[in-house]
Amino acid sequence: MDIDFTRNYFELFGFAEKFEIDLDILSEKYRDFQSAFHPDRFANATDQERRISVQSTALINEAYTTLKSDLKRAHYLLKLIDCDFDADKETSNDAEFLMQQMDLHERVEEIDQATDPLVTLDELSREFKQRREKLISQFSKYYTEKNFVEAKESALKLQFFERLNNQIKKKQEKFEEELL
Amino acid sequence: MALLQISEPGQSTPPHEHRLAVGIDLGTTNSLVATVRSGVVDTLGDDNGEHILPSVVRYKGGGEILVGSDALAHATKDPLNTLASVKRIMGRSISDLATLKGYLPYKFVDQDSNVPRISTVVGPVTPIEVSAEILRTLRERAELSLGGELSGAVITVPAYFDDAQRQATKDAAKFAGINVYRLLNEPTAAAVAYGLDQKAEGVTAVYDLGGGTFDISILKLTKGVFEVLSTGGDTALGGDDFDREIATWLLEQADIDINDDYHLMRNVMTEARRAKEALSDSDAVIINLQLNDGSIYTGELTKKKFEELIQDHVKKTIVWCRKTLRAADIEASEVENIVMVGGTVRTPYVRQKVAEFFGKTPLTEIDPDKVVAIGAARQADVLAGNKPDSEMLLLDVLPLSLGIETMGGLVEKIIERNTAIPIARAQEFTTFKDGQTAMRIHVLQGEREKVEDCRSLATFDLANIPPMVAGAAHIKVTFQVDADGLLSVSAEEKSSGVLASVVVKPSYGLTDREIENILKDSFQHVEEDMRVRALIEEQVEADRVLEALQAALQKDGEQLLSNDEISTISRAKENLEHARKTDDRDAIKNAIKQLEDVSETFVARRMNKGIQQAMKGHRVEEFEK
Repeated sequence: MDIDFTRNYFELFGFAEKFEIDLDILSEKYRDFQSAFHPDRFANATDQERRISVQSTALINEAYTTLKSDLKRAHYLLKLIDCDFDADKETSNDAEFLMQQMDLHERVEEIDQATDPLVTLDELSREFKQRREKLISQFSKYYTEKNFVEAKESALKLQFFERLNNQIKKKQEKFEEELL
Repeated sequence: MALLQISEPGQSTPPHEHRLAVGIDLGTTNSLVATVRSGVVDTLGDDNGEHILPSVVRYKGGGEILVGSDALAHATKDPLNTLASVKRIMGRSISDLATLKGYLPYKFVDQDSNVPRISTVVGPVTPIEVSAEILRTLRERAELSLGGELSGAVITVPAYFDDAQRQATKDAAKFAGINVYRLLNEPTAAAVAYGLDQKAEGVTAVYDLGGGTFDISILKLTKGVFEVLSTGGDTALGGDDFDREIATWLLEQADIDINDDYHLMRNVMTEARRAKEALSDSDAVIINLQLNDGSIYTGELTKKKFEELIQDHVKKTIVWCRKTLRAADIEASEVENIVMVGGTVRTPYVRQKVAEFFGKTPLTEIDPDKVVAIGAARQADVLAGNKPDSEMLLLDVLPLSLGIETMGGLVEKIIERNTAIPIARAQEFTTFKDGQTAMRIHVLQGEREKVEDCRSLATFDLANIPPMVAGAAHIKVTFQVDADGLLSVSAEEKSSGVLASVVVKPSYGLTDREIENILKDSFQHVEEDMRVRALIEEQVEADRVLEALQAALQKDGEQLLSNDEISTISRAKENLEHARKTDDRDAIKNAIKQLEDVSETFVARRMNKGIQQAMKGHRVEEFEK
């Protein structure tokens, strides 16, 4: 088996460069790669072989992680067509979405006062999940239509929900921590 | 970059060559070694048939080191030189110990090093060296019972061990002369022991409550590949806490102030443990505690009271189960198998609470003390190449996020926890001053945002950066985590391609210099070991000589020797008996020689007598033919 470090993640896993991919094939391919390259397969091999094995598996893991996540996969597609964005700094330009953002932030902040914060968090998390799914299909549509400006806009909105979701997770952990 | 050719798995292993490989469970309280022999996996016992090696090391004046039950037997008499539960302080710093000190009855030496040293009669020792003694004992046991040198070992660590703790474990193995195939998470090993890797698919939870650590891991198996979806746990929660709860209760009941009385503290802990174990199959236990004034306190601990004492600790483990399930995006009801590991799961209350939470009966058929070592042995057998057809592959995740310090004492995450490993991530840095040629990067591990809330792993000094105007140099720093979860760092200036040199200053582990020194010391230990062995051999020889002479004197002494001769021999005999009691090998050797010299005539006469007896009834001529 051999691995070409210059190929992009889609090529590596034998996918066409598009948003919709078969996640079952991804997992299957991933396991095949791991079976062949994982350092455990080289426990008695030379140092050089072991080093290559670690590098190869690291690349495979990175590619797999990127392709598996909707947001990461979307971001990576934009990067491949030089439409990259800084996930930490750049935000959506949509004025209406900006208003929604403020409203959503407020709702997350108010959780601290809820009677049963963990239940409220679970509810919010479900609601956000639906919104994310909508944005994901939007991205897929725009990207297929080669409307990359709108595709990037969807990805940035998706990025916002990702951050909000992390906030919720942190809050969930905080409340659970208090139970410990 | 070039296309890399990688050989097929197993190809580098010549056929029919069986490598000796073992699995080692290096536990807080107990350690075990196991191996696969003719397809059967089992733990290995010592000369007395004991499989469990208490993780206790006793340093004696004169350099002798006792490991296991021999050491444990002296825990009460010689507490400061008898070191137990050192796994708790593996990879910890002196400042970390402040929170643990109350639990560990040892004296720590303040030294100019990142690694705490315990003061003993042979001088200061690091927890790494103590662990190395345990590993060495297990290696010697395995090599003796397998009849050859070990090719490699799989050593298990708690899933939640951070980089420093994993590195410390690997260093200990190095000192013990063990080639580590892989550091394997304990829960993964346990699932392998139950053969859950042979199933087609499924989610497994491994609940491991040992003496000193608690781990919960959610594993997913798909077509022979084990994926650790998430791990959680507490490196300072375990059966020892149960013991301490009982001990605290006992001290209250008996109205004792422990102060710094190590002996009494040990006694109380021993009694507490005994009570806990007894309560696994009875409803109440009587505790007798010998006090310093010679009086004995007697009390009764009921199962109900015991469960009350430990309920908060058990509840903590259940909250961890909940958290870890969520991290894996798995519902409790989706878990198909719950594997129980660690001696503490023998407590019925623990099993009951786990069963309640998951809604099904956990697996307990394999001895919970041995299950980890057994799984590690199976994995070691595969890694040694003894099962080239095996599809088993264990994929792991990073237990804690890795990040670097940024402005304002905040941590920027570079690799998130639960990322599949091995993994490499690059981060770009730039200079902020004209002509800047060096840069320092502080690497941390943990989930919190502030530097002080995370664990400092190391600082990396990047040097040899080509001098440029501020912001022009782009240094690409690559953080790579290997299959054992250990971090390495490399750096490159992008525009010039110059490799910046990276100097690692571990915040917790041993520096290369310290490792070198300890290895040197351990060679001295080898000499020491040989000296001890030679002494023991001489003592055995002395016993043999004395015994044989005694028997001969009893039988033929009066008949064959004059009174003068008897007293000469007796003097030399007493001399040897006296030398035998010392640790002086040369003195014993000389005394043996002396005794042999003075009894030479006696031996010759006995020989003659024997010949004469044998010839009785025969004519001399028969022998002349």
